[in-house]
Amino acid sequence: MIIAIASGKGGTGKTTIATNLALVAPAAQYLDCDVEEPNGHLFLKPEIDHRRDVTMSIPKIDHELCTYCGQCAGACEFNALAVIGKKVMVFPELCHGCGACTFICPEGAISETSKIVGQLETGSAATVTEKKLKFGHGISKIGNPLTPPVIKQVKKLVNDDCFTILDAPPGTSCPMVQTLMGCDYCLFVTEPTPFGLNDLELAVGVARQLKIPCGIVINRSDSGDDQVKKYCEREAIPILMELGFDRDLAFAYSKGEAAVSKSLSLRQEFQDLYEKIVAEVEK
Amino acid sequence: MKIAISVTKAGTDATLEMRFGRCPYFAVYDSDSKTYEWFENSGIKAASGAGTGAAQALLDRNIEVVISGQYGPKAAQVLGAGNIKMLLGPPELPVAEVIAKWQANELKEYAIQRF
Repeated sequence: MIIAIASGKGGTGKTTIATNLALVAPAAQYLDCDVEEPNGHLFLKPEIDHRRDVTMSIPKIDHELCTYCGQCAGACEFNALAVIGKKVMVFPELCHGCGACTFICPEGAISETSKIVGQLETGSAATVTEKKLKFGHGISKIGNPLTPPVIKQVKKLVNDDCFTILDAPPGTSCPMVQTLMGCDYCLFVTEPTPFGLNDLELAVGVARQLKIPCGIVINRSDSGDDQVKKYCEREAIPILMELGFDRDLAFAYSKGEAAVSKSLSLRQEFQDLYEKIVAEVEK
Repeated sequence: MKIAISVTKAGTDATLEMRFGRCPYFAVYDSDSKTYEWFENSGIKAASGAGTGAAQALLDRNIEVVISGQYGPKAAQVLGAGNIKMLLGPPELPVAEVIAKWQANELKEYAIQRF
């Protein structure tokens, strides 16, 4: 079972929900897909036992074979190639690694070379009942503008026997879509504010496009207004949890600790959330 | 000689657009025939590489001089490699006045930024 924890708006509490949920779920796996700023490890404190580079293919031009016809530049959707007289310029930071240039070159003058775009780390952490929690995250290389290739590699770690939690990046652009694709369920963490609602509506639009059923967690539920609730009612989206301001939760967070390991009532709330998710997926 | 200017729209009432890669149109002035032509910049809709795409379009049209408000680093690399002279013009100036300033040698050349 693969569950994405996403939000639309940033800073609503995705990682708080994802990590606490991972710590109470039996046979769980936590994968941080927010590769631009992975932070789940701060709360789960996993032991990392494996590290490797994530690479992407970029074109390499053989100037002996190139006739400077310009078909490669014409085929590139991302303008990563320019052909100027008897010169071909490649802009690796614009390349999406699709391979269209290599495919279209009539002279076979383009081969592919790899470039490091990030790192993948895997390991394990301990749950609240001292069970093993599988851990993995991607770290996009600083300066790398394109994160989906890193996210793709993180998703290859998905273990079908587990309750897999994907901690998604914020927003509704490619990295978020890449994370959601193929998930069984998406849990959106929002806050009851106009900003929270605006971005939630966009995010729900993505889930619907991908035909992924979704539910909502309202964080900081004792603030803001009732517009998010009205929206959920209107759209028939279940609210699986409401989390109010809580001193224990904030205190644990400030120390980099998981709330479920500090508060029994919060542990119960997250166990209830886990059961509701499973029930929703099996519906 | 052909001179390209990044402009806000097609037509003689167009003014200079500040951005090179994401300008809506390019005006092309032919200094021999003293006539204008316009073409749409496909870069404005590009997901990425608007600047390199626009630069390639100018190269394909044998432009020798380009006038814009600002150039991105990648666009400047392509234009530089193609020996297209990059000049800076004041934004919102009508296209005919930009050409007048170019003829009077009043436009500064853009210096490629090295980071």
